[in-house]
This record gives sequence, C-alpha cells and structure tokens, in this order.
Amino acid sequence: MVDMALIVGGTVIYAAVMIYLGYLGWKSTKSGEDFLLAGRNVPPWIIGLSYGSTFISTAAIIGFGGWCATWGMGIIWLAALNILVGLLFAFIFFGKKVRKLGHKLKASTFPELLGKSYNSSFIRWFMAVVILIGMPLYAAAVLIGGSTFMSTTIDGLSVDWALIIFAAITAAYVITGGLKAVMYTDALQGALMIAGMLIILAVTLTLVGGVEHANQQLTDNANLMITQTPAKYVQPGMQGWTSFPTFGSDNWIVLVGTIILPVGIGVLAQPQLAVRFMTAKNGKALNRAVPWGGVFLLMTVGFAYMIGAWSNDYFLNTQGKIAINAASVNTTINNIIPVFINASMNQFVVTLFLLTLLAAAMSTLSSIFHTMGSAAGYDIWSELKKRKVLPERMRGEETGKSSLFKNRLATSIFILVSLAVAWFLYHNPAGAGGVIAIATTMFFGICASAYLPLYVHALWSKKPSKLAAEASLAVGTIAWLIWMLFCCTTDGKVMGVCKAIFGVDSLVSKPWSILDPIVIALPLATITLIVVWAFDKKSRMEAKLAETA
Amino acid sequence: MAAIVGGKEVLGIDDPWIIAGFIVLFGSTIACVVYGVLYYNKDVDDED
Repeated sequence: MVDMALIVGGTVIYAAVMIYLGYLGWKSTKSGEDFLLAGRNVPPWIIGLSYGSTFISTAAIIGFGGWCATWGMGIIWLAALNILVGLLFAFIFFGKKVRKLGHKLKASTFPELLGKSYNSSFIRWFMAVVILIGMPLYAAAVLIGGSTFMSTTIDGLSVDWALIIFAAITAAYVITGGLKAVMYTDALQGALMIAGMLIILAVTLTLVGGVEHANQQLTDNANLMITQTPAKYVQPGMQGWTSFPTFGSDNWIVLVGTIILPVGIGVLAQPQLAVRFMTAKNGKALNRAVPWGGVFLLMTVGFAYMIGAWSNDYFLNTQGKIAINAASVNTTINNIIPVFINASMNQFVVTLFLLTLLAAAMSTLSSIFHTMGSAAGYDIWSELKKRKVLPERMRGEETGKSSLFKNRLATSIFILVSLAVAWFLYHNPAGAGGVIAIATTMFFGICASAYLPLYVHALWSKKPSKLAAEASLAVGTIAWLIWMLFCCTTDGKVMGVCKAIFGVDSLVSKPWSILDPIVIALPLATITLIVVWAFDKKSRMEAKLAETA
Repeated sequence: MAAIVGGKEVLGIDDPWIIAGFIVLFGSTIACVVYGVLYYNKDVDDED
C-alpha cells in the first residue's frame, strides 16, 4: 500500500528544492544572454546530466520500458544508439563545432546559429516557427504524461490540478532563472533519476533471481509472447522477449523504422539539446561532460528497458501471466512498469519512482518551455525588429534588461499555450488522444528532417550554400508533413486529414505505410541540399575566391 | 555463464542481435567514460 504522507511529503520537498534553484538562477540572470545561454560558463557535469535528462522524458522510461515488456529486448538498440550517436558522436563531432561557431557568430539559440551561418533570416524565422508549432504539442505530451501519473499515484488529485501544479512549478524556475535554472535543476533531477533507476534495478534483480536466470526464463517462455499477448498488440514477426523480430516483418519495421532510427538519429538536430553545447566555456568542458551523459543514459533508458523485460518474469512467477496481461485488462503498455513497481516494491521505492518520473518529465519540460520562449522572445522578435512591420521606435538592436523581459514574457505566454493545448488534448481523448502518444517522435522526426542536413552542411562546409540550405529546409519540412498526413498510417490515423479527404488512413500500401516520415523526408532533404549545392554556382565561386584570396 | 561462441546463449540470451545490442550499449558507455578521461585536459579547440 502506498503511503500518501510519504509521497506528498517527498513531492513538496522536491518542488521546494526546484524553486530554490530557480531563485539562485534568478539572482545570477541579469541579461538576455544569461537567460538564453546561462552565461556560457556551465560546469561539465551539469552539461552532461542536463543533456541526458532533457533528452529522456517519462515516455522514454515508462513508454519504451513498456514496449520492451510487450515486444522484447530488440529496443535495447535504441538505448545503445542514444548513447553512441545521441551522446558520444553528438558531443565529439557536433558539440565542438557548435560551441566554436556559436561563439564566433555570437549566436544564442539554435535558429540564430544556423540563420547566421547562412546569413539567412528565412532560415532563422522558419526554424523558430517550426519550433513554436511543434513544441507545444511535445510539451503537452510531457505535461499529460507526468500529470496523469501524479494523479493516479496521489489520492484525490485530479489530472486538471496536476497539470496546473506541474506547469506552475516548472514555470516558476524557468521564467525567473532562465537556462541557468533549467540546467541546474536538470542536473539535480538527473541525479535523482540515476539513484531511482539504480535502486529499482537492484530490487528487480533480487525479485527475478539475477540476470542470467531472468533472461533464461524469458528465452524458455518465448512462446508465451506469441500465445498470450492480447490480439490488439500482436504483430507479425514477434519471436520472444530475448529475440529481435523477424527481418522485414511488421514488428521489425515498427521497431527499426519508427522507433530506433527516427529517435536514434533525430536527437542530433534537437534545438533544446544543441543549445547546450553553446553553454560550455571551452572544449575541455564538453570532453568532461561526455562520461556524465553516457552513464546517465545507460542507467535511465538502458535500465528501464531491462526492468520492462524482466517484469514478465515477476508476473509469470507470481500471477502466471505475462506483464501486459498482469497490468490490467484494458491497459496500455505505459502502465506496465508503474503497475510492476506498485505490485512488487515497498513504499519508499514507489515514492522514489514517482519522484524519478516527475524529475524525468520536469527536466524535459523545462527545456521545452525555455526553447519556445527563446524562439518567440528572441528569434522571432529580433527578426521582426529588423522589419518595417513594427513602428520605427520599436525597431533596432535590443540588449540587457529589455531583452531579458521579452524572453521572460514570451516564455510565460508559451507555457500558457502549452497548458491550454494539454488541457484540450486531455479532455478530447476521442479526437486528440492519439496525438499525445506520437507527439514526441513527431517532434524528433520533423527536427531531424528539416534541420539535420543544413546543420551538418553549416558545420562541415567551408562555404555553405544559403540556397541549398533554404531549399533543404523547405523540402524536408514539406516532405515530412505530406508523409505524416497522407502516407504514414500511425500518424495519419491520428491526424485524420487523409481520411477526411480521401476516405482512407494512408494513400500507400504496406510496408511503406508503416514507415515513419523521417525515413522519407530526411533522405529527400539531404538529396535536395546536395543537388542544389552542386548547381549553386554563386556559392562555389565565392568559395573559390575566398580560397585564392 | 553460458558459452559465447557456437550459437549458444550468453547470459540466457540466444539471439546474436540482442547480444550485439547489449555489447553496443555497454561498449558505448565505456567509450564515453574512456573518452572523458583521455581528453580530460585536452581542449578540443586546439585541434583546429
């Protein structure tokens, strides 16, 4: 039985510490640059933990952990790519160049970095607009995930109130303390997540008799995955918890084409993660951040997936059921890990798990709020101030306290927008509930499809082509939108546009209809960039002139 | 622990793809730690 006093007490202490860190951030945030980049002097361990905890939200732990419980350990490749590509490659190959370029161009945000790299206002505002359209949905998904879990764990707390409390605590430190408060709270939340997952893994291993025994039982009972999984979760190609799905099957395409590749590669072009490279004082700080991030990711997502798979052993031994059936009759895979922990562990671990999930959700949410605020209050506002759409007295450069005020105001507005979107989605589950489930992969997908080719081009080309970058940005975004709305069955069903116009969920047949939009849009955007770059004579001539000069 | 070679199980897992996934998972984490230690005092900006 869960002790309410322990849970409420733990949550109140947690919230008080977050707000205190927000206060410390507020005291040292004096200008727009402090708010946007934490003074470009963040310690390495904070950068590493903040990068990891921003990347990993509740969905990554209970969503993909539940996926592993239902469809097996193949998803461990996602955790492996998260560390190898999302962290190690990202820091070594992207981090160093982004930090240097950001410093050289005096850029404070991801859209500003790429906009200034290409000397293109179009790129800057286009990227900011994509952020401001896509991120409120991502924020709403994280808000609803955290609030629903809070509401089911704390007796008498409605989801509506949980949404408000959750957003208010996060808003309190993001608006006042800017990126400094976001990153310091991220680090604390990251440490809490490591402690929580380590203890939960240790308890799980004692419950299932150790690693080899637990895996052996899963291998021996592989047929139960096929015979006992509820019909709506059965996918052709399932072979057991310790086996990868059959090559080319539906289960394989879903795992590789919609989870491992989009999320594993999509992470490279996330604005809220890229900006962290620019907060480092020097290259050394980035080197030193790498171990912190790597160990964090192993202990959160890596451990969550193992715990998910092994929950089947526990439920088979205690109830004679596989995890998806033990969780409840009409359950979703997201409930498996919470039900397993509630059923098998004592109240201290349950409380720690609640705080771990709150930390996971809040660390991601705070960075999303901050990125939206900077896109609106800095990128869009700065571009508007250059144009005649504003009266002359409002145009020109903006610095110091005035810039800080605009950033805080824009962050506040987009927190309210996110809260409204979350409230609407939660109360319209028939029409919009599915958006919550796919919002995270959608945002990862559109960022990678639209931004990744021009991001790579800006970092590695001596004379990047503005024309090629703008064309790639437009093609990546449009191709992603078209595939998402009219071809991908998973996304298309949720959006309903294809059904409304053509009467079907997808205009293409399997296996194309299972593919995530990124699998189509990213190669198209890359080809566009290469082709336009090859034909962009002006850019090549300028590069040649620069070489001879 | 079972034998690693000859199509046998490793820690109760018999699918090479899953075994490889775990090797990449732990190997990447170790690589992160080794990189951080080796380059602890090396400013990467100096390389350019």
